[in-house]
Amino acid sequence: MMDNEQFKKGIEDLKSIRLTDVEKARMLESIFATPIPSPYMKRIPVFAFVYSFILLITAGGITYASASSLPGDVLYTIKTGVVESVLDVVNRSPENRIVWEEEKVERRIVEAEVLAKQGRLDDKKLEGLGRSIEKSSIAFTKAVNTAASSTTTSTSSARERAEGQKKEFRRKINERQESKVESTRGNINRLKDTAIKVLDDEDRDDNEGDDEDNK
Amino acid sequence: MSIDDDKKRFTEIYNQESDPLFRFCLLRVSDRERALDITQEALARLWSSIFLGKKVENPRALLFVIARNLIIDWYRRIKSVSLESLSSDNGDREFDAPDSKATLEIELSADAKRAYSMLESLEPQYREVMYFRYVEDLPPKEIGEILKVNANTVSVRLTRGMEALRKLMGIREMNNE
Repeated sequence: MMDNEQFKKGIEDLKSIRLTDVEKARMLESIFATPIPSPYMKRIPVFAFVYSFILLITAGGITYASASSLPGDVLYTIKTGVVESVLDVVNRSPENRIVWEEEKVERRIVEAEVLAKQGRLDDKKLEGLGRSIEKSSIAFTKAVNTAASSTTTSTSSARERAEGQKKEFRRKINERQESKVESTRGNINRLKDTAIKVLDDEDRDDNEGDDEDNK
Repeated sequence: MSIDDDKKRFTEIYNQESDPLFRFCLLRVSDRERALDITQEALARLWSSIFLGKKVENPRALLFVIARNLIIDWYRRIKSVSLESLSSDNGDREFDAPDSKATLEIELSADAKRAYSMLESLEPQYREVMYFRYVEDLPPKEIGEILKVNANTVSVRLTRGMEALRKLMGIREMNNE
């Protein structure tokens, strides 16, 4: 049996439920000792995604813009120092290297032609482009020789193939349309000659080696 | 506001609210250690809000709301209950003790056990308002904030809860007689 008074007393007894002093002190201490997570931590994945996206767009934009840059432009360093360096690494196999170095020589000649058209082709730029063409031509011949020596076909057919690739390279350079501007024609031809000279030197070395072998 | 000011403010709230909050948790989970954990978690969340500069208008109501949700989560984990009764968002969510014996094991006086048992016998919608009104002495407005209902609804439930309680006591008296 429970009357109103007993119920009231029961409620009062319920109110007496409390933490002990030790529990109370320990709990407060624990709460203050608990590290509070930064509200920004929750947003880190969002920030990471947004920044990655921005970075990707920016990098893509710069790469795209640098493709049409010329020596002397701000983005030209990115074109040759970053983009082409990456492609150097990507095109490591001799077959790919042959195509890529050929492409680079053509790019440098085109750059010179455009600069000449714009009247911006000075000696310094010409020298830089010449060096670059020479470097790529040497890399081209090296790649051709490596491809020929590593082939599984007979030595004579490999050699014929290498000769064919060099001839094709020579033909492409020679067949490039001559500059209509008389004053710059000489400079462009000099760049073409740089590439041809590397091939000629290589051929001469090969012939001398053959003569010695015949003797 | 400096950290010291925040700590001072929180300590005042802590001294005032930790006992009622612990009592609320203990009567619902019937396990002192678990009640301590839930109480601490609720208070830690309040401290986190204060520390991060969030505006806390009614810390008492906020604490009870957090504790109530933590208890619901705890019940969901330990007991296979009907999802319908828990997910309904009408403020009538139940806190059935996982084991009726466990409730009795809490060190309470005989009168307290019987009074609490009376409250537990009420329908869920009356049980909580009656507890907050008569054990925690909260006004209907604050009870409404905790249960997410308006003060008028709380007043109606209090009146009906009281009627139900009287009826229950009367029936018991008759049964005992």
